Amino acid sequence: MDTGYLIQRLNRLLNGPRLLVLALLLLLSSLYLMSGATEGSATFSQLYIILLVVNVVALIILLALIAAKLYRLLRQYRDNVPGSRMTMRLVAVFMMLSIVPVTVVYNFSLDFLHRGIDSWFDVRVEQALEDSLELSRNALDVRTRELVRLTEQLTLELSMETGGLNALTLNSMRERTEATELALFDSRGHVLATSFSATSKLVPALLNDAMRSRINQGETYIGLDPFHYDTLHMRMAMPFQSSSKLNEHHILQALFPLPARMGGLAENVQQAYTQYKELAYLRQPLKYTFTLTLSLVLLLTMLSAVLAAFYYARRLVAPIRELAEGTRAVADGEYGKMLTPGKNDELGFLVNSFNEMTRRIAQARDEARESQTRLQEQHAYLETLLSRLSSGVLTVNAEGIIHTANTAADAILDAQLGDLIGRHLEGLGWRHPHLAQFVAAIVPHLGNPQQEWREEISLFGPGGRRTLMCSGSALPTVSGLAQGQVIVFDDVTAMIQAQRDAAWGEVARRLAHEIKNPLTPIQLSAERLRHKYLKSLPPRDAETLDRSTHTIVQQVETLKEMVKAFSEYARAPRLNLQAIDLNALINEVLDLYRGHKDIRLHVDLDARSPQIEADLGRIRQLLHNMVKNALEASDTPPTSLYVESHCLQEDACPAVELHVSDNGRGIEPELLAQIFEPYVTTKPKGSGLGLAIVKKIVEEHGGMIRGENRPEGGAHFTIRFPVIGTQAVPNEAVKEQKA
Amino acid sequence: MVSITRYCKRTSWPLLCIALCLGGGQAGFAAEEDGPPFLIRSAEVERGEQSYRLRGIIDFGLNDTVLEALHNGVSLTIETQARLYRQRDWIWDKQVSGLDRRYRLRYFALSQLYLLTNLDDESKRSFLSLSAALYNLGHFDAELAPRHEVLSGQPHYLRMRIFLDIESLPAPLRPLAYMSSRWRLKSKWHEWTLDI
Repeated sequence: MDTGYLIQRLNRLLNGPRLLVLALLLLLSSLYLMSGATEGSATFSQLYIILLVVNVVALIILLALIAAKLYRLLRQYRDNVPGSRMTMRLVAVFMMLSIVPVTVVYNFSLDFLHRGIDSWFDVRVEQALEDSLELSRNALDVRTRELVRLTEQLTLELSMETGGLNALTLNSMRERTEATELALFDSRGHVLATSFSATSKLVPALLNDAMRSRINQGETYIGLDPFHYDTLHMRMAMPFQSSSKLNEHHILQALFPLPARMGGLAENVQQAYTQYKELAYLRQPLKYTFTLTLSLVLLLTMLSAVLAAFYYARRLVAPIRELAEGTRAVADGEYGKMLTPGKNDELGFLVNSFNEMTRRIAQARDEARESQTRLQEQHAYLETLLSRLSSGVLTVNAEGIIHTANTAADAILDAQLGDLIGRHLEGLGWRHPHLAQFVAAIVPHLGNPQQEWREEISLFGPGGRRTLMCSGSALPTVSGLAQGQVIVFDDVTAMIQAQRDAAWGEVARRLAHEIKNPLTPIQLSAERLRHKYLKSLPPRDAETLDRSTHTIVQQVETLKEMVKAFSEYARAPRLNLQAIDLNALINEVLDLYRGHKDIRLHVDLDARSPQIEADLGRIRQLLHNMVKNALEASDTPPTSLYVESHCLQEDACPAVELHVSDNGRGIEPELLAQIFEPYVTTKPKGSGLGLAIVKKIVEEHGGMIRGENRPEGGAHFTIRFPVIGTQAVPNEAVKEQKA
Repeated sequence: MVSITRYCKRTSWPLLCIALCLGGGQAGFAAEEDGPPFLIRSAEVERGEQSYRLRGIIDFGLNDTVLEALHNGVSLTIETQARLYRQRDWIWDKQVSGLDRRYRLRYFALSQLYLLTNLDDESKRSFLSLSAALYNLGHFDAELAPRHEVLSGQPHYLRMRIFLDIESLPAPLRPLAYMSSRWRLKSKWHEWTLDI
C-alpha cells in the first residue's frame, strides 16, 4: 500500500469529529486512571505507566496538531484568506471560554486534593503510633527478660549435661518451658539436635552468618520472629560451653510464642505503624501523582477544547468563507460559482439563496450574451447589406448628427463619410463644398422627422452636374438615435442620361422616317416647277420662282443633311470589329489635318499601347469628330490640339486611354454633364451632334468618355478603350464616367 | 529538584513544574547522585555433580532516597538475571540457560529486622542489620544449568546483571522512580567467558 495513501487515510481518519472522539476517549482513560489512583487498585497499578505514556503521547499529538492548525491559521490570516479573521476570533473566544473555567477548576481541585491528602496525616496520630510501638516494645522487653533468664537456665543445664546433647534432652526442656522450638547448633551453625512442638516441623529456623558471628563473640541474639510461625515468636540464641568439648561452644536457639493477646496486639501495632509510615512516606509522591494525573486531564481537556474550537470554528466559518469567496467570484464576473449546499439552518438558507442568486445572474448573463450575439449578427448582417447596396444610406439623429453611412454613400457623394460619423451633417458641406446643396436639401427635413420625404437634388461638382434621388423616413426610436432619419439616395444621372439618349434616338428615328421621306418629293416638285415654269414666266416672276425654288431646294438639302446626321446618330450599325492599332489609326487621321493653317497638332502616343478590337470606320469617324470639335471650339485660330495615348494597367483591366485637349473656350460648367447630349453645344457653328456621336461610338465599343475643363483653359476629353482579351463592364464605365 | 518542589508547593502551579520535572528531572537527580551503583564484583561457574552452579559476589549501594523509602515501610524488589550462552561461529549464539532470581527486602519496625524473601520459593531470612541482609543478598549461589546442557570444549560466556525493580514499587512512587536516577539502581550487563 502506498505511503501517501496511508497518510491520506490517516488524515481522513483523524480529521473532524473522530479526532475529538479519540481525544475524549483519552480524556476518559485519564479520568479512569485518576479514579484508579484514588482507589489504589491493582488494575491501576498495572496500567498506570502505560496510561501515563499513552496520555503523554496523546498530549504531544494534540499539541502538534494544534501547532499545525495555528500555523496554518496564522498563515491564512497573514494572506488575508477569506474567513481567517473570523476563524481566529472564534478560536480565541472558544479557547477563552474553555481554558479559563477549566484552569480555575483545576487550581481549586489541586488545592482541594493537596489539602485532602494532607488531612490524612496528623502529628498526633503519628505520635500515638510511635508511642504504641514503643509501648509494645516495652511490653515485649518484660517478656524478653523472662525468656532470657529461662534460656540462660537452659544453657546452664545443657553445659552441665554429661550424657551428651541429644534430642531427648531438648525435648524434655521444651516441654518444661513451653517453647515451640528448641535447636542446638555447633559454632559453625550446624544443627546438632532439634525439638519441635509441631510434629510437621523438621527444620529449625537457621542462623545466618551475621547472627552466628555475633553469637560466636559471646553475645545473645534476642529478637521477634514473625516469619517462621503464624504467630509472633520471641527468638533467643545463646552460646554456652559444652562439657564434652572444652574448646568448642554450642548455641541454643529457642523460639517462645508470645501470649496470643500480646502477640495479636503487637502484630496489629506493627502492621498499622508500617502502613502509616509507608503512607506518610508516599504522601508527597502521591501528591505528585495526583497532580500529574490531574494536570494531564487538564491539558487533555484544554487541548481537546482548543482542537474542538479549531474544528467548530472551521465548520462554522466554512460556509461564510465559501460565501465570501463566492461573492468575490461573482464580483469578478464568475457567475457560474455554486456553493456547497448548506444545512437546514440560517447559514444553509443563506448559501442556498446565494446559489439561487448566482444561478439567476448566470441565466440573465447568458441571455444577455445571447441577445448581444444576436444583435451583433444582426448588425453584421445589416452592415453587409448596407455595404452591398448600390444606394447610399445615411442615418442621422434629430440634431443632424451622422450616425451611420455605407460605402455606397461614400462612392456616390465622393466623400469619406466614415470620418464624419458623430459629427453634424453640416460638417459634410463644410468639408466637401460640392455637397453643400445635398446638405442644404436634407437639413430642412430634420425638423420634421416623422414625415417621409423624397426629393431630387442636383449637385455641381468637378465631374459636372449630377442628379441624386434622395428620400428620407423616420427611424424607430433607439438609443442614441432618438427621432432620427434614414436617408437613402441614388445617383440617377446615368439613368436620366440614358433616358435622354433613348428619347433623342427616338426623335432621330422619327425625323428620319417622318421628315426625310417627304423631302425628296418636295425637292423634286420644286425642281419640276422651276423647270416647267421658269422659261414661261416673265423675267421678274421667273426670277422670283428661281429664287424661291432654289431656296426650297437648298433648305430641303439642309433638312436632308440634318436628317442624315440624325439618322447617323440614331442608327445602330453592325460593327465590323477587328484588331486595330489605335496609334496607327490616330496618325492616319491626323495626317489629313497636318499642314492645316487653323490647327497645330501635338501628338504624344505610347508605343507600348496594345491593339484594340474596334470598327475601323467608326473609330476613324470618332477621331474626325474630335478634331472637328476642337477646330470649332476655338475662337482664335490656330487651335492647338493635344493628342496623347497611354497604356493603363489599372485594376487588372488593361485599357488604352486617349487624351484629346484643346485650347478653346472650354465647357460651360453647368453644361458639363450634358455635353454629350445632342444639340448641347456652346459653339456658334456645328450640328450639336458631334460629341453625342463620339460618345455613342465609344459606348458601342465598351469604352467610356469623360469631358472636363483644363485648368489652363480649354476642354479635355479622356476616352478609354478596352484592349483585346478584356471586357469592359458597362457599369464600371458608367461609374467612372460619373466620377 | 528540592528547589523545584518548594516552588510547586508555594505557587500551586504544578503544570510548569511537571514540565520542568519531565524535562530537567534527569539532570537534577543525576547531579545529586551519591551512592555507588550495583556492582558485580565477581562471578564464577562451578561444575557440580549434576549441574553447573553460579556463584557471585555483588555490592549493593543503596542511596539515601532508597534507604528512606525502605525504613518507611516500602518493600524493595531486587532482581538478578543471568544468561549462559554458547558461542557459535556461523549463526547467532545460543542461550543455554537463563536464571532470574527475585528478592524482596523489607524492614519491620517493631522487631527492627530486615526480612529477605526469595520470591521464587517464598523462603525468608531475617537480619538484624541492613548490611547483613545485603551481604547475604550479595553472595549469590544458585544452580545455573544442568550439566548435560553445557557442552564441554565449546566456548561459553555468561551475562549477568542486577537491578532494582521499579515496577514493584508502590504505584504513587513509580512515576517519580521512573523520572529519577536515584531510583534507577542497576548494574550493567557483565560478561565473562567461561572455561568449561
